[in-house]
Amino acid sequence: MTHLWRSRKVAWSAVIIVFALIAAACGGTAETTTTTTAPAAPVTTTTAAPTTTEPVVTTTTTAAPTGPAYGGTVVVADDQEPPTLNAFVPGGDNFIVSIVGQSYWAGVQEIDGFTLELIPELVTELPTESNGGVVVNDDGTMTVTYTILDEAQWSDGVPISGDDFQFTLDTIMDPDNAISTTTYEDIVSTEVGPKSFTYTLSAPTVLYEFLFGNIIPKHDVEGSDFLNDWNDTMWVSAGPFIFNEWQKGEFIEVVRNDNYWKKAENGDQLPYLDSVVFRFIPETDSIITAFKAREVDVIQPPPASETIEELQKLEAEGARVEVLSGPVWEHLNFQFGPARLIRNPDSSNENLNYRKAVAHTIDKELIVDEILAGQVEPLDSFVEAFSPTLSQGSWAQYDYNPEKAMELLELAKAELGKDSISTVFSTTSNNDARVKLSELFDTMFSAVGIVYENQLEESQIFFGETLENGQWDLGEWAWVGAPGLSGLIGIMDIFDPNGPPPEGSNFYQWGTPTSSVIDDNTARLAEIRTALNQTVDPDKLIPLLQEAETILADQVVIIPLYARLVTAAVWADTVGGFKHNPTSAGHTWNIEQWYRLDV
Amino acid sequence: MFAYIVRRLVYGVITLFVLSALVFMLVQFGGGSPLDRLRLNPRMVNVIQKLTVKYGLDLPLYQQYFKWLSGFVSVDRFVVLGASAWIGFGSVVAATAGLFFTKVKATWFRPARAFGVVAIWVSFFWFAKSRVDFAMDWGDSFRGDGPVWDLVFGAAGATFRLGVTALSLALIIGLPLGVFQAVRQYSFFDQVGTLGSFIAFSTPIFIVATGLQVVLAFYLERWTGLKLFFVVGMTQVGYGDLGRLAQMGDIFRHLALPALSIALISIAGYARFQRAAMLEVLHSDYLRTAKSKGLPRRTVLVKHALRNALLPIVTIVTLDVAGIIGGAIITESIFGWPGVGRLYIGAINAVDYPVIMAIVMVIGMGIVFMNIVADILYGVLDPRVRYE
Repeated sequence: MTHLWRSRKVAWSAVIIVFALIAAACGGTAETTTTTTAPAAPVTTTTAAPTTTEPVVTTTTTAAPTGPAYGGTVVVADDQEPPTLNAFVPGGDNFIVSIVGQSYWAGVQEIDGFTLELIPELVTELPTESNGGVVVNDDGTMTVTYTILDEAQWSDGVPISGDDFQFTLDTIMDPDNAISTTTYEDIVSTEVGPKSFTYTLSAPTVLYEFLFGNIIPKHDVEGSDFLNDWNDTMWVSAGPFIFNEWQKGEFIEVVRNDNYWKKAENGDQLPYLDSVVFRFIPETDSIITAFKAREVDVIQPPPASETIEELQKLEAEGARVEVLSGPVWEHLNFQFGPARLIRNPDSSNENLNYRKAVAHTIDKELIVDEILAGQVEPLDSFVEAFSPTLSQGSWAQYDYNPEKAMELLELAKAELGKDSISTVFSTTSNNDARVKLSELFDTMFSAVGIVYENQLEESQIFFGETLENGQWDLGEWAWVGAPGLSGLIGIMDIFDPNGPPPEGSNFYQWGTPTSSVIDDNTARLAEIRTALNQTVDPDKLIPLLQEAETILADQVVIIPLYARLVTAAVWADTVGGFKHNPTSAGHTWNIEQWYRLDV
Repeated sequence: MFAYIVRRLVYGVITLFVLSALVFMLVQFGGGSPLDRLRLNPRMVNVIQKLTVKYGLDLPLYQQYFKWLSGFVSVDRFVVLGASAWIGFGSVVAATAGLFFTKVKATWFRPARAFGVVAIWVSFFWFAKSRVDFAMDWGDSFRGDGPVWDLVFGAAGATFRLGVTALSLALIIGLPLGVFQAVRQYSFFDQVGTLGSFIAFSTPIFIVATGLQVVLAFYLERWTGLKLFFVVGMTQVGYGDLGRLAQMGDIFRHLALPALSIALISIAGYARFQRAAMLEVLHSDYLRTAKSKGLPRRTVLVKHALRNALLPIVTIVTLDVAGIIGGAIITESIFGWPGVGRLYIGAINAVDYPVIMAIVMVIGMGIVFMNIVADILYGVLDPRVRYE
């Protein structure tokens, strides 16, 4: 009897477990059960949700003719988790913070994912000299005026006003907050209106273009402990969604802002989605597997060629993969400071013919083919990563030409009184593309007779003491470009002869007081940089920028190589409105336009 | 035994002190600074200066270490909410004392008392969790993640869930497997079990984890149309809206694969160890005596053989906790599991010293503690063992 009871008990347990498993397996995901229709949403036709095993193969271009439907949830995966939600505290500068923040922040400007240009967000138009928004005053100061959109309001219905702009400025300038105050610190006076904000900068500069990119609500934040209260939650939203929940280590969920002020071009109230979930998955392989299994809808994986190929195979099942040239540009560079001799006592970086020889030694086409599977063209100028239309392609003069390189090397040897020339190449060892690059360089440099050695380092060391001390001979890493003239002018800081590290960012030490190269060109570049920061007139700025580009190319201070790819993939048969943005705006830049095709 | 425990605790504290100094130095000399990621942004120069002062990175190394150490051993907040926690604490202390002073000669009493004490205290901590606001002053994350105490213990629950499940799986599968292999020595089952154990041992955990993920969470769904397991996460979004049964199912579907990934190596280890221990007992004289007395086979195997063969496994299991945490570090990253292991990898990538140090110390304390527990348990389970 006991045995019978026991065996029955076991049997019942087994039945319950099996039942629970089947029930759980058939229970579906919460994502498909949370779709609701917004009260203000127009009536739309709905389609049956595709099962995960039988995906409906369509594309976003086949969206329902009645317009996007309201409701549903989109899951976005990323390998990083924000350390904080507050962009104005330490850790807030991480890219993922702004990727999530696109759903609830708003500012003066945003970057259009189609044109890659700055467009107004909270203001009626971006201020310029021609529209009267920017005025260069007789006393040498510059006044900028923002006219805030009448309809712009916070998620609690309070209008967004000039007071919020002033509060944002005060927060940034608060010495207790570790926020970059660059350019904000040059504001000498402000004027606040209900729907306007005016400030005066001590000198003309186009760097105003990127100010006030994220506005803080005074009525919600004032009086709070700013450094501690807004790390795990978020203030009232100015964007299409409202922060709802953060399960640390797992996901952040944002839900529809019913008071969002923006409408679509067709008059639809935005956003379309009920919620967006940002799921954090540290491993790239797991992100890909989760995407394949349709546990996530949108991903932005690292642009390795194998990953891209793997994702492109899913296009037949309804995925869309966008591979674009990003703003991050890799470049080869020379160290001109004395510490390079620690790395290579025989360094010849001060010799122009040697640098030109190196430029002719590099086969950029081969590099792009090997590292990026030929998906992009090599860079002929770093300006291409900022404002392509302004680029002169000044480095195009240095074609891949080993014979020419050898001729220049002979000249360099004669000038330097050396029998041979050697170089030591340093970059980060934990970046596969750079390791590959070092292998390619080995072949290229050896072919023209340069004695070549690789000394790669962990990125923490390379980007730490090596860069700060200028302790490399020939180096390679990347900078990040940004749209607009301000981005291009800002990057000139890295060539500023008056800005050696640690205070400045001329890590190459070209023209700095201890540099091995101080001449008319370095002096002229210092003048240009000063002039660039004193005017906002494009007619004056563009020639100056082009002159700077020419000097940098002629003097071979750096050699731009290629822009890194940025990749995004979306299940386009279920999610519409997605358009990847390769700039710092990220792929969630138009999140308010996203909609589900299966609700 | 009390003196023994105190002595072991003192050794443990010294070990942890040396460990902390060593790891602090290793992290420092490992190169890089938590602010390096800011250095390539020309506009962050003044931010770097402010943060350097804020985090004390401008202090000499020894001062940074002692600043960290003094914070690590300091209580940041200790607030008891209501009298129930105090009453509970008093009851637990009284119950523990009662159990220790109770004298029962039955052989089952010693292990029962030990497990009883553990159960009482675990229950108390569970009860006090929401009634006591306690935190040590472990500083703030340099990455901007907030207070390190909250960060580590926020993630510890997830790792605990994963670790306990993995350990349970390993015990439930590994021990019977080893026993069965020993009883059927050289049988086909034994040979297959041995081969399987060697394969599980020699396969890196990231391959096991990725393999399980691809096969059971992705292809299984494609083949059968049933989504039994999830690729990533601990729960699905909207978990709170699910019914009780669906919640249990959701937990199982997320937990199964990462737990199995970690457990597989332990299963192999326990099976091999248990097989060896069982074989040794099976060939002992007293067992031969038991058989010759005509005792039933089942009594011989379970009461005389298994009971003695289980003793060494206690040490193995308690020491295996370190291995399970090690496995969790990799597994949590692969499965997007929000535990301490994943936090640790993130902290290393960001050179986030306070978080790295806190996690290393928590793991260190766990290992020291489990070592002491292993020693005590061994004495509790085996009356021949005496502490001096």
